[in-house]
Amino acid sequence: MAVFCRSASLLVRQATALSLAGARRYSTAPYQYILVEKKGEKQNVGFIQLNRPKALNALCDGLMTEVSQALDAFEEDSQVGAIVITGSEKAFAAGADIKEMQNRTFQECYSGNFLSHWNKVSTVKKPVIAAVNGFALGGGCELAMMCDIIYAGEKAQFGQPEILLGTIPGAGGTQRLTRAVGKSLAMEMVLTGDRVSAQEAKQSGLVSKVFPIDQLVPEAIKCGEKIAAHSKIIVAMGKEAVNAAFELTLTEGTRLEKRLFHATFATNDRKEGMTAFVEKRKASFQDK
Amino acid sequence: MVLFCRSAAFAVRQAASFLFTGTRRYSTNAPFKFILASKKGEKENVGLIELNRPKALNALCDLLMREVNEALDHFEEDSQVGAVVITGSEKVFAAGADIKEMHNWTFPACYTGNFLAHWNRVCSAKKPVIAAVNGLALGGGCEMAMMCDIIYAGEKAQFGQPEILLGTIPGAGGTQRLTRAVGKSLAMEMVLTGKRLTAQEAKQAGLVSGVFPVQQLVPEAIRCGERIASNSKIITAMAKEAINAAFELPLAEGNRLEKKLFYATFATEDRKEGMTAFLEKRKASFKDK
Repeated sequence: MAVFCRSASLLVRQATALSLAGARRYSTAPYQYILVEKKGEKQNVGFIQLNRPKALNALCDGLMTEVSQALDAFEEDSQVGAIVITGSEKAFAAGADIKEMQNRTFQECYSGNFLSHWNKVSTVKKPVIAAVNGFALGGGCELAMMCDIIYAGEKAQFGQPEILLGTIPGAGGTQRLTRAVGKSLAMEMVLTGDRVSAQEAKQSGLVSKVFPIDQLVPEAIKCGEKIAAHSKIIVAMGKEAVNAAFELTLTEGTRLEKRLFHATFATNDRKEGMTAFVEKRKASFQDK
Repeated sequence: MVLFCRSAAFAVRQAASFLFTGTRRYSTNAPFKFILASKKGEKENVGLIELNRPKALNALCDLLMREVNEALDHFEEDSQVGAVVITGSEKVFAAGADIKEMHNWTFPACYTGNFLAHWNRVCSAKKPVIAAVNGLALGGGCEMAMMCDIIYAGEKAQFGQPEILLGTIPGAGGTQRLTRAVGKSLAMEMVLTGKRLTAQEAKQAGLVSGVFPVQQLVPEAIRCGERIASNSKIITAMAKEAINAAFELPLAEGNRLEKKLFYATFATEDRKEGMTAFLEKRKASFKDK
């Protein structure tokens, strides 16, 4: 259906949403800034596509709120085992919405907890894969780094150019980039605003795979399907342990991991998985 | 001017410094004995410190480190300077600490005298420091490079921590910074065997972020310094502080510090100017406040 202006498309979307008794559904379009659906053979991969093409997917408050809502819905959906976040072919997200923050004061930021809800992605229990084609700059790069896995298209570019705007990264960029690529490259990127290509990002450890542009999203979904084939509860524990490596000293992190590992023995899935292995058959996980 | 011996050179330099009424200046290399200090870049906004102890392959002796600290202090106070580059010669950045100097030290003397305590002045610089490493950066030399914020290497550079071969261990952060940069296996290998890395291996391992032909190394490092110096100094200092916190705090706490610093940028004029300039599609004009 072709719609000629945003308000018309909004009316159509609202009408469709109302006709579905106001309940949010994945396959229709109640969202204004993102597209949401389920992908994969078994429809077990949640798919969030940032959809603000005129603004190169600049992350405004409304968009981030919608991403949080979509993530909440996927977390509750027992069919979904992993989530993919992507943008367009040109841009994953070219930054935060500068117009929105141009006139903010320090007082407003501090009292209003500016950007506090932006880290929803990092609190999700299910694995999230960022499929980055094109620009992931500033807040866009930070959003990708909040995800668990980053796949990049061949023309992807990553950067933290906030310094050129007289500010610094505010959503984890200085912390996650440094942990990913090391001090020298992180300092260079953050202090000069220089970008790295997909290949450089792979070489420095920021992304784990690079794909041709048109294969990026299918491959990210394939990765999501691989993850979703496993026990959801065990996957959540695996993810929790890996994330603890950035919070705890090695000894404490190893202790947490050991407790989580012991805890897997309280699950049916662990018993099923090891029994299936010993019996040389495919495991059938129940997520408990 | 050709000088035939070190004492003659020293005498000339002392005379020159008296001519300038005893104040230290950058453009005359006169007052420093072990380093050369100058300002570079089109706008003279990049401080350059060249380690200059050629006969000793720039071995880091106590006096050299004091002079580096003094030069850094000057560049920190100089409102024209936005970034600092530290380099050695084409053959060697610094081949280590001065072994002759520490040869007869005892444990009590080290402990009570806080041996090497002032060697980490580079880490407390608020302005970004770029190490431009040509040739050998070994032991204390490698440690000094790693104290800097960014490392650029010349194609023939070599990095190593060979202290073990002398019966000691790195004492100026080598075991800590190298491990964080290149990972456990390679750090263990380097520190326990004395193995060196080439410039290409150092880039691949994440220790350095750029490799350049030998002749282009220092110009490129200065160019990087100029790019940094063109931004707001106060915001740059905050960004550097946030990145360094990644090595001190767990991720959640580091994010919290970053967020507070980010909020604080909204209390600066430069942040307003930067974002306004972006929206008005013009070049920002920062005032460092």
